[in-house]
Amino acid sequence: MRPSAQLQQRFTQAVETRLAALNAPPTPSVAQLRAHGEARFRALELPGRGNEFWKYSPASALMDPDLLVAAGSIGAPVQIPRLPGVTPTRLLIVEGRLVNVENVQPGVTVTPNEGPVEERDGDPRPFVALNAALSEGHVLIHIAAGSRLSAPIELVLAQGESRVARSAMPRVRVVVGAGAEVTLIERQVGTHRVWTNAVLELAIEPEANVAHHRVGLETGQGLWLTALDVDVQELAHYRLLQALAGSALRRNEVDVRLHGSGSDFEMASATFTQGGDHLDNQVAVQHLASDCRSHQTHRSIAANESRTVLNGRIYIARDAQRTDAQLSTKNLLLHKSAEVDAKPELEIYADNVKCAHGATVGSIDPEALFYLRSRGFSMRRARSVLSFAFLAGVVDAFGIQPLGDEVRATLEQAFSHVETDPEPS
Amino acid sequence: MLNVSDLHVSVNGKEILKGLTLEVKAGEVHAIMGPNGSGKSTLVGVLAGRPGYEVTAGTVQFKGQDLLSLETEERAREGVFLAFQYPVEIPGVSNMEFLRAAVEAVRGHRQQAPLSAPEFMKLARQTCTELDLDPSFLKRGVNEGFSGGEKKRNEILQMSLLEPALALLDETDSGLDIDALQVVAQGVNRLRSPERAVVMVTHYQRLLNHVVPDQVHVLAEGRIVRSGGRELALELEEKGYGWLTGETA
Repeated sequence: MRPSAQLQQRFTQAVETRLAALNAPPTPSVAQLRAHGEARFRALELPGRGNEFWKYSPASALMDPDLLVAAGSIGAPVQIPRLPGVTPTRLLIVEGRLVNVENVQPGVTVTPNEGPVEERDGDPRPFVALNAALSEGHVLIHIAAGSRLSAPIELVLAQGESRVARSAMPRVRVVVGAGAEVTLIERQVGTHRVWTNAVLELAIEPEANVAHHRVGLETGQGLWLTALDVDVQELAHYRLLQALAGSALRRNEVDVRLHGSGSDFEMASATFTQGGDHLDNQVAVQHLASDCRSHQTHRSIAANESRTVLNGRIYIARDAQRTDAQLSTKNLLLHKSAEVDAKPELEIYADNVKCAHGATVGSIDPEALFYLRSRGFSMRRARSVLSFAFLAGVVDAFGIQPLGDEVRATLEQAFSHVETDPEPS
Repeated sequence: MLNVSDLHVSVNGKEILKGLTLEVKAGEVHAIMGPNGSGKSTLVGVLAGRPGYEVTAGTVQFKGQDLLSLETEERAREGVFLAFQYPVEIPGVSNMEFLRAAVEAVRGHRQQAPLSAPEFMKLARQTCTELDLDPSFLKRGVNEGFSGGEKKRNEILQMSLLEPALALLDETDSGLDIDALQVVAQGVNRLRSPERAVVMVTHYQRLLNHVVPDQVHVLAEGRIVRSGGRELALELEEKGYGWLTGETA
């Protein structure tokens, strides 16, 4: 038997053992979710060698039976930052369980473990199915049509303090009613060896406006796999702003479907990987209706032996005339041994579209470095300043000032610790 | 202040400076003139610590120290300032942040008390006004989208705030209209003092109408071929460089 087949078999056995040991489902909705997930997981093939979707990330890192052993007590939640001057509606989800909800604003309803739990038909991803099969509960957040929320909704996906290897299956569905305006903050918090296999679904009704800020800047042993599925209806606007660091494995599967005419998706992503960290952004945008726009800006910095991946797929259906789709990715390598894989993929079936993509990979401009040093900046400081400057455009686009400040401070701190090559590469 | 002795410098194996000797005393302003490719920018670049130069022979003493043994940033902190011929655009870093960090680095090294943020902002705004720069300039990215003249004035702004012991100006006057030239000249004249020295690389004697040098040197083929007073610049303007370099003007 090939090693990858052996690995898959051991993993499948561990899943069966875990399934047999699950607690009774808290509600019929969770029971239904599990049943669907279990059936789909059994029907789907695990990623092996030659799987294009997992070409740049080691799925094998997740298929470790140890991660599926029921962990017992996970301990108190790890420390979670709070934004000064902001009082969000805050949901604390510790390893898949909703443990606290604060400051629910008018127009917002938070319902744990009740339906509807809708599945996208034919989702080929076994780990998304596994999330459902091993669910300990899910959360539905509903924003009433026409609501203009005064404060953001903050969704914290956190680990517990225990050091035992384990996994967690958080699942959140956010339904944003027609014409509503929402700012969403999503945090991925924790550095322990926990596989967080998250599924986040956003249903954005016509003319609604969602600004989603995603922050995961902790490095460490965490294994973060997040499936973000977004359905955008006509004239609705979805904006995804993210600041992410690498981890043992951090992989974001972003699947945005523009179903309604005149809908709009904007994405601005700033990422930084260092040490031996790995970060994988798999972004798929599907233009399924006419007159939609998608603009993506990705800026990534990779240091040391780390690896950053961007796979940006843009699909334009035959009826999606007058589509305006753009993807720009710029990448900075701080060391020779760092790696960036930037891969745009276009699939266009409509004939009247505007579609552009561009990718660059470079290193720090030696003239800019000299300029700063000639003004008294140390080599380390100059490199740190220029690194941050590379990402600044994305961070400046954050709509929440204290969050932008937090991201900026965290990144600057991280850059100031990056070792400088003896000979600048 | 500055003592350059028999300096030989190569770039990519090609010798550019071929035994250059220059002494600049505190309080003096020297102008370096010369045809294109004579090594003017190489000279100020090597003094400021620009990478890519290989010093094959000679010495440079600055305030009694071996300048060439210092890192670029150490030279800056010791008081060497280079006004760039082509200042670098750094989008994403505000001019104010940049200036403040530079001033902090230099003042910290001189063991001067750090300026508070409001003190610094006041000083920066005031210096802008003196240089006829709109203070909105401070909020923009470093040199980002600046016109050629604005970039040069931004160099003079940095020089004014950093108060260097030795200011090196690399063709700061080129491409400037007469108003901008006067601003640059005022900046340099204001810096003149018995404790400081200025070395100006220039192609034209126009700047020297506004900043009167103590000495003018002509650099040709990697050596100083002639030194003199202000009148040498006027003579060069009239006759070109041919009569000094052996070529036809």
